Amino acid sequence: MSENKIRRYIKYAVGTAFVFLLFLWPLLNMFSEAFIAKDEGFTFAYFANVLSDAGFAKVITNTLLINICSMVSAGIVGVFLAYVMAYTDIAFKNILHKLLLIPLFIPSYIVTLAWMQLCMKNGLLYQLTHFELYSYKGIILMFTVCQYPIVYLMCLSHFRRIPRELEQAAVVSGCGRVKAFFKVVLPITKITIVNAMLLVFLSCLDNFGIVAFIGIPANINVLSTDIYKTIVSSTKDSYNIAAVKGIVLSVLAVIMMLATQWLSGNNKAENCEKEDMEPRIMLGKWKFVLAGVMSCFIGMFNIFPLIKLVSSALTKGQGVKLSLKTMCFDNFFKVLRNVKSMNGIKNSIFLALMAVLLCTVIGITISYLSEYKKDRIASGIQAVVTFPYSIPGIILGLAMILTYAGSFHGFTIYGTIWILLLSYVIRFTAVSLRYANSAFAQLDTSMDEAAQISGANNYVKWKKVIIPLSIGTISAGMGLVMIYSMMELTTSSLLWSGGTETIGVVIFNFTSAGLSNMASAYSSIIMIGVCAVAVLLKVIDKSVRTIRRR
Amino acid sequence: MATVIKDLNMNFDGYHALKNINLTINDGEFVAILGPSGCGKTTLLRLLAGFLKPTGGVIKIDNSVVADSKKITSPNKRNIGMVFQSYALWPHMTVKQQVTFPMQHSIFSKYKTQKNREERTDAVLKLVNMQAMGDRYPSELSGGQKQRVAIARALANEPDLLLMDEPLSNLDAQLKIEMRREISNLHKNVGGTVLYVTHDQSEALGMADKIVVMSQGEIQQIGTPKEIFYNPVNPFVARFVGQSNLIRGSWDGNEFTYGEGEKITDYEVNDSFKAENLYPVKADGLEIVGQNESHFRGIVKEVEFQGFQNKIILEMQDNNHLQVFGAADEEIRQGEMYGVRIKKRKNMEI
Repeated sequence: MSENKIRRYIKYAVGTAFVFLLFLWPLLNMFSEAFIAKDEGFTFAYFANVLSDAGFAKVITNTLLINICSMVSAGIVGVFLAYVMAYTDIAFKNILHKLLLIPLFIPSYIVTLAWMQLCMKNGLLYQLTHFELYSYKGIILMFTVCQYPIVYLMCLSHFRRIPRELEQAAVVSGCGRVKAFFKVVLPITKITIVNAMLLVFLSCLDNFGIVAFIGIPANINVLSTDIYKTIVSSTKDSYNIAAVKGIVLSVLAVIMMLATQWLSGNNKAENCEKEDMEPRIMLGKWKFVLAGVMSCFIGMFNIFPLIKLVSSALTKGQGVKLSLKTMCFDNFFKVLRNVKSMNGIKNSIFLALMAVLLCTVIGITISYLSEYKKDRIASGIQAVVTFPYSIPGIILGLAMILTYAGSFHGFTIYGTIWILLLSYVIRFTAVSLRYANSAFAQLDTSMDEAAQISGANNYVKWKKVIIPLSIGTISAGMGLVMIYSMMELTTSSLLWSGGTETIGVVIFNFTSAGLSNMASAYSSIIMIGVCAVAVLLKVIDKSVRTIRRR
Repeated sequence: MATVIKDLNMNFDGYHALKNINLTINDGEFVAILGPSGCGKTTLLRLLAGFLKPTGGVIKIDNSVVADSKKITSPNKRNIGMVFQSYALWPHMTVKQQVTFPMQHSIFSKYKTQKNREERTDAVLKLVNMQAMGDRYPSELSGGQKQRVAIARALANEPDLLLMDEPLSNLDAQLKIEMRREISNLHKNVGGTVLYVTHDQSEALGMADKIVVMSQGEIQQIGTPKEIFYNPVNPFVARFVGQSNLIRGSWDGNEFTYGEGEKITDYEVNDSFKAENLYPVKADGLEIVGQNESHFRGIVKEVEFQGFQNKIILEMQDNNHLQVFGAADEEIRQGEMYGVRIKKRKNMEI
């Protein structure tokens, strides 16, 4: 074996060990906790306890009921919206499309908080409809409002890829538009739709904000809130019990995960490579009517609650109607003077920046080796790194507690900000990795080879060719990791401690303490901040582009 | 500056892509590697470029070893240029930036100052007739223009060896012929050594000084275009390059019997044809006669008027199809049976 080869193997051994310890060890540790009692060693007792508990059975039925209903309703809404946006020439398409994506960028717990303000007992909406938010219906509504963009986006892209001749052939054969939709479009996209719906299911399984804000007060428990309650109850064997429940949740998540993978692997429908952006259904004057109806719905579901959130932040007491007389900025001042809430902003920004940096570096390295260099070991590592992303965040939180609660040679990261950073990296590297993969998939190997042939060394090759060509896609991934980390709640709710609050934790604590006006004020500040940053980034991006073009 | 390839072997996970390749490319030569897809020609090119490490054998450029089974010199440390099949133009650089790139970054660059590079870039772009498009991005160019930029980039740094990987395969027929002429002219004007990979025999025959015919990872024949065309050494080369008819029959020494007892004696047919009991003959080496004048008969399936001549396709009695050129004024009727005879060559004894 040549020296080079040995060096290469050592590099891989170290890399693999590092990735394994970082990404998999905490989860394995948690799984073993379910079977090991403190004094007795290996036992099935915890399992037997949990599985024979009628309360837990109720939790499982709740979870399945809520998730399946949410998945179906998000599916119907998403498919309908995608069809309208993909095929009709509805007016103001671009703006409507952007407005439809709002729930992707605002964390579900803020949306929920907004709806909580909207559905107050003395509010107009409740008096008109008597809609009880703190119920199964309420949770399902919230899930639908927050998750339909997943279905919408996936179907939008697939609808546009269906060759228009397929539909035309159906119309020529005598089908009307509606019949063509059910006989041609739907069958072709059914795998994509089912896949998107499963992703909604997974996302609901992972969600903590909605079920914590609405479910806990209504005493409707699902897996993630039940595990959270078990952990914070701090009884003798609460961690073991939580671990068992965690295994149940993981199994459910992994089954869903495998199902989506299997489905997308079997998706053999022949489609156009490129999205066909031209509308296929001309509505004539009706395009304005449809746009009007659509914007009413968007306004009702995506925008009005947020306005209500801001306005309730501007009133003194809960449920006070906003008018010029009652308007005051007290809540905002209180929040800005509050040490904890300021800590939250500081910590979240720090965590997000660090997580973006680390996730991107790890993601690009693994992706370059496995996707571009076709290295098999790196492909294995890739599978390990993506695994924690499919595991619900509450489980990762538990696993981190169990693994890092003790001190390691007098060195403890539990209770510090570093455990939060570590868990974010474990969770979100998969996101960076996915974007890096698609960046490298678009980058033809000949680009790299042409640089080498032209005499470029490694440094020049990366600087002048690979990075400029992949930066667009990779920075989209960075933006996503940034948003996810800034707004993370599930894992943080378990891992925070005094001084290491994050934005999500601050809002959660305000809400749990019944200070929903404070929570609203804080959320409003965050939303305005995020918007400002987004606009700033857009402006920078545009000006960089124009400078480059020159 | 000769490039010498000795006993080169390449294995991909048990698939033997190249088997004992021996080839010398002399300075200034235009060598075409010709073969059907999957014959290993692109693998050979990538080995020369340095993107692959051979599993056996040696590649020497200018007497120094650049690749063997243990060690390879990376592509950026070989003074080579390459035109990719997909052109591989970087979408984020202008035409000028693409062409300047190798001069900026190659360790072999002779153009050290910004001014030198600018002059060279202009000169090379002029050479490929692209001087007006220097500030355009690849997305603003047509296929033929991209092709020219790719060539300009490969030539910019005056490489010792220019590799071209099916550079014309993405162009339409008209442009193909135009670019073929231009590449030939370029080679005549600039000089330099070129290795040109293609599956199109007319490209190889029209441009190369030397053709290397490959099939299934092995070299079948090396020779000038004329040698390859007129004296193919085996049935594969005859079929692939020579567009020859291969008549079935039986050999006895130098005497070939075909049809129902028609005979011909030929001293120049390679043993590999004799081993398969085939006789290679071009379309113009056959003549059509009345059905009673030959014991080798077939039915005319198609007569295509080509101006100076007719191209006639016959289905012979052994189900073999033959292609024969006949005089344009000769009347051959479709669907009727005719006899076919092998014409005597000048130096052939009967």
